[in-house]
Amino acid sequence: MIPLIAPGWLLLGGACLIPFIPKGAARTSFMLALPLFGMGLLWLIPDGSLAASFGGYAITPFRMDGLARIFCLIFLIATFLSALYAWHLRDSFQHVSAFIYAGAALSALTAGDLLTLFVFWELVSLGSVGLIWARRGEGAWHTGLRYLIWQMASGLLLLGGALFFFRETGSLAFDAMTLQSPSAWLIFLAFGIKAGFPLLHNWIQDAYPAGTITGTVFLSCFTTKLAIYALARGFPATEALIYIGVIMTIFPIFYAVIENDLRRVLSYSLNNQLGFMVVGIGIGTPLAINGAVAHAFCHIIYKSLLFMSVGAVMYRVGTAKATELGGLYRSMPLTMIFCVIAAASISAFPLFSGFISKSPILSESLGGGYWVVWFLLLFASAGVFHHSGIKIPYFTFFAHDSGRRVREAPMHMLLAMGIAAFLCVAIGVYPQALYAMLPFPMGDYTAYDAAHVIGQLELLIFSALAFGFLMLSGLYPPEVRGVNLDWDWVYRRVLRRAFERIGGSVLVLGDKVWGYVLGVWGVVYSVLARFYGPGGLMGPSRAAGSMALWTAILLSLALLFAYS
Amino acid sequence: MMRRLVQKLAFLEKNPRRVFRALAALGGALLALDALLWIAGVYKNIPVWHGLYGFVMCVALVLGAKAMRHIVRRREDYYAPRATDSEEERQP
Amino acid sequence: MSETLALHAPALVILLPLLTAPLCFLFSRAANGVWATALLVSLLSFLCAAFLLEKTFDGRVLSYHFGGFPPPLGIEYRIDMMSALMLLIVAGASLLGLLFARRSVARELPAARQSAFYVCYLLCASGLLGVAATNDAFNMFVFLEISSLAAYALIALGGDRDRRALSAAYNYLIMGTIGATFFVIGVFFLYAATGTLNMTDLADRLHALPVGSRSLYAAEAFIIVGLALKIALFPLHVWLPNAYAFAPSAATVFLSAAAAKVAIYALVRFLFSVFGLDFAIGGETLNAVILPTAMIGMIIGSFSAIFARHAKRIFAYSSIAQLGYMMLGIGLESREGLEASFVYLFNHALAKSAIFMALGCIAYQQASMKLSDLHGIARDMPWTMAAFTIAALSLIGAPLTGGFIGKWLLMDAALAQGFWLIALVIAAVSLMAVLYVWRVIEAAYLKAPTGRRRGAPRAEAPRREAPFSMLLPLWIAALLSVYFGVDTRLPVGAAEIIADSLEAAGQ
Repeated sequence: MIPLIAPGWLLLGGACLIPFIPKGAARTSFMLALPLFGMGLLWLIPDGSLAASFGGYAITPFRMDGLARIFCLIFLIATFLSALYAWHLRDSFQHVSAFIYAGAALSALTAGDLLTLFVFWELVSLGSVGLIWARRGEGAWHTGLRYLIWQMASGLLLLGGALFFFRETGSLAFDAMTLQSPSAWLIFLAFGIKAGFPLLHNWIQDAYPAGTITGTVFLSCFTTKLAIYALARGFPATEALIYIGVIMTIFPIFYAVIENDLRRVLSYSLNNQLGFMVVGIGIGTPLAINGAVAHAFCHIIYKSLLFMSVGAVMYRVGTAKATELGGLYRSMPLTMIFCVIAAASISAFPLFSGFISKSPILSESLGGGYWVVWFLLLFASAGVFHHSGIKIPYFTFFAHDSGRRVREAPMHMLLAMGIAAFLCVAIGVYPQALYAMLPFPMGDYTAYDAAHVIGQLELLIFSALAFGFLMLSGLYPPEVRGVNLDWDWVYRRVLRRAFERIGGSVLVLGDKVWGYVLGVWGVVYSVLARFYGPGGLMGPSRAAGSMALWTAILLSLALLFAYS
Repeated sequence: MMRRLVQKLAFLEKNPRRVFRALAALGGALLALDALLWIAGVYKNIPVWHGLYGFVMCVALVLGAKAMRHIVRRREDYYAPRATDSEEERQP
Repeated sequence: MSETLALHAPALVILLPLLTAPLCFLFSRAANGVWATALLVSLLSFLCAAFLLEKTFDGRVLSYHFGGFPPPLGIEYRIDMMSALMLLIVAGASLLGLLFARRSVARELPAARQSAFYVCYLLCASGLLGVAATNDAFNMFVFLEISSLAAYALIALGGDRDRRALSAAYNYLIMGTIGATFFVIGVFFLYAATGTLNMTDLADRLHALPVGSRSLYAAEAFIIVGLALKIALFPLHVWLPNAYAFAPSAATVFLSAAAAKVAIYALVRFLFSVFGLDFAIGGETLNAVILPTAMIGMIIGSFSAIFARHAKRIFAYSSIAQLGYMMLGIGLESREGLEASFVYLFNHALAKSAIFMALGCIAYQQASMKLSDLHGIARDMPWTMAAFTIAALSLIGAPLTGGFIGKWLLMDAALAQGFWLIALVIAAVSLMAVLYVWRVIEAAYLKAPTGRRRGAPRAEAPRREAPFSMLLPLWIAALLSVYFGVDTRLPVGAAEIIADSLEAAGQ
């Protein structure tokens, strides 16, 4: 009998061992073996759950079922690919952070109760912030702090929700909820922060471009998809999610078009992709949920592939700003090919993975009678193609030649990207393998019917034509350096300024008020001290004197209460 | 093989209008196929809808974003030093 | 053998240190010899306490009759779960503190006073153990005084390093004496009314008395205020920060882990076991007094900690806030609240002793404990600061540490009675803990070391890691505070039994 432990716990345990293994091939091999071993465990572990008691509460630290299993699988694949991509790295801090992050995310997937979920939810935040701080420097430090505050806020909301939930139901079990009680709303918001709901989303675009090259690949895989899993588990068929999701698909694409930092473009695009999943969960039919889960699965692969290819460029060139890049297909043709494959996948070209996972969501929104939603999702799909499918490869590898001549990406990066690209195509060509693993049976659903394929191809080709038209006619906005203000401007600039300005005057005012309080207290004190005070008897120390006075006051109060 | 690919791409890069024309031809063919299938009654989709919608919305998206940029764009060091935007990018 | 031990363990656990202390004083002047004896005795005492805990874990109560005189006439030691848990905490803190003390005391105290330190330490420990074990109200007063007098002396011994220790000890002496006097006045009122001092007997006879006797009101009021002084409950906390800040490091470790908590134990014993909540000053009045004072104490203590500049004082103020948490659970007067309080108390003892040990390690290497002089210290003392960080996480209440389960239970207890505002205060004060802990972490890890201090003519010796004998107890405490955050069977199991029995007694 092999002792079966949860894959997430395996990774967490492995993370603790990493610093003790000498840097170099030994350590990186160990880090690659961990997720592979985890996949073996995942294959052996049957569905079921483990009951335990923590502090007198019945908890379920481990639960495995169809939904958890497929997310575990993709998280393990992503861990393996990201670790392979980071083969060259010799930074213990990043290694440990990354594996704590991945392990905590996996453990959160298999948490059967809100308390366990909360514990790993926080550990996810803690591990991931290391990948931002590992970049070092003042900007990364502050960005990490902002990121951590958002994540901690999410954790606290979840904790509060769990407490209220326990008081309402007498149980901590993490299952489907409805948005009818305060506890459910708290938990919903906690998930919403991590899932990048509109106005709660800024941490994604703020933090991900600030991570290290390899760190951002890890970051793009876990946090937000953990939230998608949690929403699929906790709030399936919650109608509010449909509208939230639609907004999430629409507004980031505008920012993605004008953003110069390509990793931030990808972050906006990530937010938009999350929107599709959220819509799927909100629709809530088995097929829609399946679509959301499959989309998360494919998304992790192609999005990390995009981050990998941009990261590889960054690794060679030293920047990911569109204004500084261009013409790199000459130097890095393989990276370019992988990037194009990822771009085709995220744009949902037929025969690539995005197509087979996005189609169920779109058909279900149409089938459910959400016409407006369907229109907007279609618009968002065209937008995705525009900024992720065309803009990323075009401005990196083509466009005007930046004149930079660098070497092709290192072997291990090419290998990681190659595997990811292979998966993108394989899933697109043979979706049945993925469909079979989804939590609900897919029946004879296929994305490859004439209507879907032709409709989608038309949409994409004409979007490309629009891009070409705008480019050739010179209407397309040129890339320029700069930052674009998003909602976070409110707290990063306006509130900060206001705080600094008002803070000063409040301090002055506070001093005045405090002075009055002290003055009044001084009068009261001197009156009282005349009657009860130390008056030299109690010794020279004021502390002892005032304490004795307090004691007398408290005793008389107690007696007063007693006799009244 | 890679070298030939690079050469092809370099050729295309010098002749963008050729790429555009090829795309337009492909788009036209798709529209025609779409209409044909609709007439033949293979499916009930609205014909050519996807193509027009995609084209119009993409143009609208880019122009909208371009207009938005006038409002939201700031210097790269706007949030400095509490952001990485204007920091040196070299890192391990 | 086991039976004989079970028979005598309740007395042994206290008498061993109590009798060894004067013997040490009489026969040995060599500090190392006294230290070794004290350590051995503490170890034996700890083993006895662990044994007693194991014996009472099924809810059994052990009774030991001193000199063979049966109660209520004779003095009775009565060990139930609550006593056993306190014995374990006190004996464990004493053991850890002594392990830590040898090098620390050798550095901080002049050679002539080192053996006196250990004697006072043992006396203080035996006094605290006695309070936890005895079932006799007057005997409890005696032990309280033994421990307090020894504590005054322990704090005053810090005077060789910092003269402010003397005035701190003096303040504590005044306040402690007032508290003890109030306590004994209350006990005398009770004796006058009932004619007995045995607490079990007292409880029976009190409830047979007609309701509304004025002297009993006074008795309860005096006892509560007296013990509140010893607990350092707001607003009677003023003595604590300086006493903890200027005492020798090893003394702070022990006192912060054990002293105030034993006073809390005594208060709970009187409130729930002797008086019962429906007695004299009723439960509702207590509720109205304890809950606000506890919460104000939490907030004021945390604020003071945030603005303190002296590392040891930051955590002394934090103790006031943390004691507020424990009193909050008691003030809720519910089964859940009591359970939460005792879990909190247990975990706080571990975390706080680890924190003060880490600060003691720093004090071993440099004289100044100002935050500005701790810049970059994590580079020189990585092991110390790593353990500090772990313990500080537990203090904040981070998940997977002991502090988390305590805070969770406390919030749950507050919500169970619909006090969501209190739960919010608990969360807010935890965030304040993040702030003051952060100030230390920031100084230690992120600030660049100031190098040679401004204007200092002589090059100071470079800071090095503390010796192993100090790191060992520090890491034991830090790791235990994580262990008990994951495996909660001991603290939560014990606290459940305590809460059940107190609830049964309070009815």
